[in-house]
Amino acid sequence: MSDNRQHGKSFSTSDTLQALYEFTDAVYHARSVEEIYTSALDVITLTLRCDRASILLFDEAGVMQFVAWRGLSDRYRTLLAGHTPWKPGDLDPPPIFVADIQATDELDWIKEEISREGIVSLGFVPLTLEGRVIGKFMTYYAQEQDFDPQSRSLAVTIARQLGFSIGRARAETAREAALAQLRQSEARFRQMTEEAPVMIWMSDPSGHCEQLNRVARDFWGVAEDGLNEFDWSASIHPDDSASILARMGQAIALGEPVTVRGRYANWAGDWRVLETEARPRYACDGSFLGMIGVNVDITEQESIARQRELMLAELNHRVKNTLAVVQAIAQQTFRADRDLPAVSTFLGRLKVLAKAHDILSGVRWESTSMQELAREVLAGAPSGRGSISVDGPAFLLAPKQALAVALALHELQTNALKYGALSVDTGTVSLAWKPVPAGRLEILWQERGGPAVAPPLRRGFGTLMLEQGLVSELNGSATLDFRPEGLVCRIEATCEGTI
Amino acid sequence: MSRLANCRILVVEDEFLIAAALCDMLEDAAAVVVGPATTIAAAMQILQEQPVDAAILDMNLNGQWSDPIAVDLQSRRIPFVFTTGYGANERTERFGARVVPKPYGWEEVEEQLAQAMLDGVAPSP
Repeated sequence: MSDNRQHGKSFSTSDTLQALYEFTDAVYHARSVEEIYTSALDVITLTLRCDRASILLFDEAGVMQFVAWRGLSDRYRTLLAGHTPWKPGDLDPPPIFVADIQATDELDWIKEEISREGIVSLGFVPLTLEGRVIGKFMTYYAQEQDFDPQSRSLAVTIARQLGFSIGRARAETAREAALAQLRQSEARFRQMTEEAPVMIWMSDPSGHCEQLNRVARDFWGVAEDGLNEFDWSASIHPDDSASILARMGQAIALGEPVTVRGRYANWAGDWRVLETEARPRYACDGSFLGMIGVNVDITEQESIARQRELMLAELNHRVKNTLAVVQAIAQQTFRADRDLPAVSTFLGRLKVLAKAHDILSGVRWESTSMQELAREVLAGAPSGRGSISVDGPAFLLAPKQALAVALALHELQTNALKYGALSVDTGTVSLAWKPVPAGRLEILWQERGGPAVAPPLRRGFGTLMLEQGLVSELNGSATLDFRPEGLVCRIEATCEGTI
Repeated sequence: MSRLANCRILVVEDEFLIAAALCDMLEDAAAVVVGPATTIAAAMQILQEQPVDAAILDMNLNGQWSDPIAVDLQSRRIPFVFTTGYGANERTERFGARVVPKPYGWEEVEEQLAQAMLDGVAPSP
């Protein structure tokens, strides 16, 4: 750009067009926003024929700040920064051209500063982005200007190009920042999955492995670039293969989460038990992309659990064997008196104890349901002549309580068979239970239709078991009411858990 | 007259007291006790040497599954019942045998044994 063109009177329309082309070309190739400002100041000073010009933009706080300038003193810029006829976001305002600042009603100190800078005439040209003001460029003249229509529209044209270019540069900066952030976030997530102490994988819609994190690659001995040839299904134990593939296939077909467990050969050929939790993953448009899953090596837990299971089975076996030995001793001891009622009572009680142990070992000595207990215990004795109805909600009993309740029910049943409602065809027994407030369970045994009942003269073991054994075992109470129409036994127990 | 009268019943049970009680009960029922055997080897030996009509077989002998005896009994077409403290398991199914859970009363053993003799022997797997 030559000085003679800048000040010459002979600046033609074609010169102006040429300068605009150059400006357009320069901003197109600009690699930074500073290059855009420089090109803009070039074209402004050249075509609008001023020595001094500036570009100002609203900062984040909405204050108009000088971002590029030519021929302005520091003092001027410091004092007049923030001075603007527009607010951020004003909608496409027209430019303002002031022929003589002193003739306006601007504040006196501003007029003084402008005059002090040797400026008489000024142009305020708004810069807009998507129609909204983001800043302005200023032209300054030492002489009064008439601002003919041609130079006014030229100023607007430059402002549009400049505003557009700044917008583009901003978008580019934002895009790059977002990209950098994305790269950083991706690197972070990649590291997280890579370093995670469990196997993480992703499959395509056909179930082929697309991605394995490091632990998973190490497990199967697969190189990072060897995933194309990797077939995880070939590593499943032959006995587990069919069920795992069927369940995984179904999850893929239905797009459902799935949990499978099975043995897989690791890189060394050792069988390890992996528990896999997989979920379907979808693209933004809802199309199925495959599964994503986590495998946890539970070989050790499995073997501990198996050992525990074995130990529990052994313990149950021994307990029952011991009961069998006690029974054998009794049978031998009472061989001659085998038909005595006392012997069969004893053996019956021993059997109920074994039955209760059986039920408890079936639930691993955790807790047992009241229904099952009642069913098993009542089914254990020979059926009487009356009928028993059992009714109650699901309720869980702790092992100790279950044993006590089992023995109590057996005593009640035995008594009913011998003397009570189960000794005649017309008799009925109703066994019912319900949870009562404060975590207690109420069990009610009611006999009807049996022979007339009289309280026993002697407190037998059965009565004792009911009235005292239950109290201590169940931390509750038991009452036996020998009503003439039938025995009523009410048991109340403190219980930990219900369902 | 007991259903087991004069039947030759092999008793395989490693717990002496239980075996003794079983023997007593069998004798009371007029059965002829063969054994008792307390090991797999002893039981197999008896089966080779003596005629047996039926057997009462403890599923576990000193920590060993008594499967070989069950297989031998099946191949000789001798009916048997398992007694066990483990409850029903895959063996009951495999051998199609009746199970008497421990502790048991004499009535149960007698009933199941008599039934097993009526069932005949399941074909070998």
